[in-house]
Amino acid sequence: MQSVLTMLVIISLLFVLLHSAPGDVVDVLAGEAGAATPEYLAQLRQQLGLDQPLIVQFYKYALNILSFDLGVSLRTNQPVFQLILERLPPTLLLLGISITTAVGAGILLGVTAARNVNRPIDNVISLAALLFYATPIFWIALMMIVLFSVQLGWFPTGGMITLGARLSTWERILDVARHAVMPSAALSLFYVAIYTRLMRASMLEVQNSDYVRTAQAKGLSDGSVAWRHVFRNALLPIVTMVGLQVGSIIGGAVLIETVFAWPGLGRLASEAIFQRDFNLLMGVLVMSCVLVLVMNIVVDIVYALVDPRITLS
Amino acid sequence: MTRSGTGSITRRALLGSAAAVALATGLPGAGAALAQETPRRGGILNVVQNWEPAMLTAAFNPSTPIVLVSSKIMEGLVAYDAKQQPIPALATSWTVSPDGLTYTFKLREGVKWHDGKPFSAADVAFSISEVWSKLHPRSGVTWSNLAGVETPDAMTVVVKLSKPVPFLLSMLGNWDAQVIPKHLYENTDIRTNPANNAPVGTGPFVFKEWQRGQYVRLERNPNYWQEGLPYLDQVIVKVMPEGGSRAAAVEAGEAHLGQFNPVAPSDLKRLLAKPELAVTTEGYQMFAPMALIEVNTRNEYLKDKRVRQAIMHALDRKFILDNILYGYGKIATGPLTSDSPFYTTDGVPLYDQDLKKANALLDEAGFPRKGSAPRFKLTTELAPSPEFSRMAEYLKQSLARIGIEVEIRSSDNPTFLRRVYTDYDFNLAINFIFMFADPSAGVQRLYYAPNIRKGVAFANASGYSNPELDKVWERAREENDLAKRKALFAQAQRTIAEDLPIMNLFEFSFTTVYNKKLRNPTVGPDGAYGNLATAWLAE
Repeated sequence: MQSVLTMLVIISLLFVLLHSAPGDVVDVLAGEAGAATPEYLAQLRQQLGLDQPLIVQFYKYALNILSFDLGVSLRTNQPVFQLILERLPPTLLLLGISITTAVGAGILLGVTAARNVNRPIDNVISLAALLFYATPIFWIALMMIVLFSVQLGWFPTGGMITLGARLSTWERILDVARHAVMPSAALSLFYVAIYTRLMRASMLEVQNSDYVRTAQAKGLSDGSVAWRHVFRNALLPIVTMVGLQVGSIIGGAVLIETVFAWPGLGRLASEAIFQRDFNLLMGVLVMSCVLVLVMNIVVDIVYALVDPRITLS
Repeated sequence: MTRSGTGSITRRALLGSAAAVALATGLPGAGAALAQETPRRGGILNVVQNWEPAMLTAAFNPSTPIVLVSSKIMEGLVAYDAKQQPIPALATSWTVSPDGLTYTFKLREGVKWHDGKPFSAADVAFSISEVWSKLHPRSGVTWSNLAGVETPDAMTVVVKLSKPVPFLLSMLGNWDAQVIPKHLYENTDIRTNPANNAPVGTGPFVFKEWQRGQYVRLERNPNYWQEGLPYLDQVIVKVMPEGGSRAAAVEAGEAHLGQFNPVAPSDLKRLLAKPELAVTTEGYQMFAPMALIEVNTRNEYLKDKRVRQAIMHALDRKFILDNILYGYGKIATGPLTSDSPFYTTDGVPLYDQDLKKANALLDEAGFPRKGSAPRFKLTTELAPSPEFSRMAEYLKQSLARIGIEVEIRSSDNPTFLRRVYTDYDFNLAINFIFMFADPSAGVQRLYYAPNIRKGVAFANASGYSNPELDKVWERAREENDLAKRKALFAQAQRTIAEDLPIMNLFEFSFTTVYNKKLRNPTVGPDGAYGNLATAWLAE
């Protein structure tokens, strides 16, 4: 119920925000066509319902949303839901790989750094994390293309599949994987950096707590203490961060999808903005909200798994 | 202007030296084979495109992303030769009555739609009366004098006009007037017809699939009316929205062709260092893109034409051309590009950089300098592009030198269009606009007083009204005598260059970047929208 209310508030905010940008899809269509008559523009606006007062437009839109109807894209005349469905799997794939990589690598590096605190390996990891943290995603993506695609030819420059090739199912999976390496690496590097630093700090903090000293006093081995007592407790802040950052990872996906011509939701959204295709944009944003809400539910479940003190009621 | 990737070694020189080697080593025929290449059949052509098309039929939405794909599938009644004159396509011949009111088109026999149905006069009549004249955004210009369409037999179309439209034949190509199949569109909502996204045409390539956000795949039409064509088996158009990625795709050999500035001019030099890549500016002449500054003549300072002339004199356009456009363009002298058959410089005032004159003009206009304070302030809008951003910065610096302070207002495209063409909320606007083959179709709209129409993109946003010039436009629009038309347009060019309601800066050169394996990447004055029928890939 709370989620539904959140959604409604978000939809209203989005609607106001989007409509405060100057220009509409008809301006864009006329601009692209290179010319248009006023009659043509008026007819198009009327057809798309853009000639009605904003409050009426909002009322109609909200009504549609409540009946799970996202409407029709103003620019392409295609149902928004269908357009989004086509673009959802690539984005989910990209996000899935990126989040897994970011969390996995972050934890691994963070734990390694924390267990070797102030030794050279810790310094190297910390420095690398600082570098990744400070590098813009966009730049790193382009540099990866220049190095790995143009110079070395290891990975394709963009897209999701090799066209024109006849591939078996297995080869097809490998093909998509090959295309996904650079986009997901570029997207996850920043988050790897964050989780590494967070994990390191968190491990160090837990290491100084009383129960760890108790465990060590009991005579448990170093490995066992680090794994059972320190690691599990240090993990909680990471889980919290992942939950909070899912939204911003989706934001980062917009850039990555544009640079790598990855056919996902983020690109659909950015194109919709520049084309003032409000129905489509609203649809994508609503879908993103759903994604974030779902991810937060997943995070809540993970909490319960990691920390037995938390129960799902 | 074709530039070869290797700079000093042009293709012809390469062929020459290969022939010389062949002669010296006594290899028979090698030189001849190179000099006269036989087109190779087959192969998949990969094209990169900057934008995702909204649909795949341009019959009523001639926007660039659509036409780039659609022009391979759909055809017009005519195509154009190097002199921008119509040559047969779906129509094999045509006659125009002496009064210019009746056009009779004979259509090509034996042409079939991609779904196997025969093409006939009914399709053309339907396209004219239901699509081009009703739903096309330029219909008001081309088809407002349409009186009727008749089909005396299955292969003849007669178009009747109420007033002459002397430029009609220049608006019937595959990028402005695509013929669509009546049997799929009749009695449907044409705008939302599913065939718009899965087009059925008569062109050299057949639509196969469209994965939105990824690519459009076309296959060779085995029944194409031009025997033996096309050479390519498939054309795959990939959408890559990011300039750097497109450059990388071309560089890595993943794409053979990109049009409409696929790569930023600043990246081109690096790309052309690769011997297999080349760039050409051919194939855009018929659209005649012009980089210009639209001036809001309602502004208290800009309403004085001396101020407008002063601004023109403040600019060193050679500098902009060399440093911002990297030489891809030509300094304009007026509203027409030099490729136009109506172009003239005779009696047209030219504007070289002359700061003394600029300052004098501003003093004369009554805006003297007071100490170090600026004479007055202006704002400038700009159509979003990196080149225009730099041009705006240059404008700001240049006008500061004659005592005009400029504030740059950047925005995205919809905001730009809204401010300039609907709200008139601008002083200067850096922009580019297609002038098209005929001035009545492309140029008049920007300077004609009755076309001061709020909310219409690329109308007369300057608010410029010159009744004498309006009469010239009106006469030229309906004048069937070529010499008289030329004289009228010459007069218009002189008036506009004198009054400067719009400062025409550069004939803009769009670039086509291609891999040299691809032969015939662009053919004709509208080659950027060409159908690739004669294109082929060398081994």
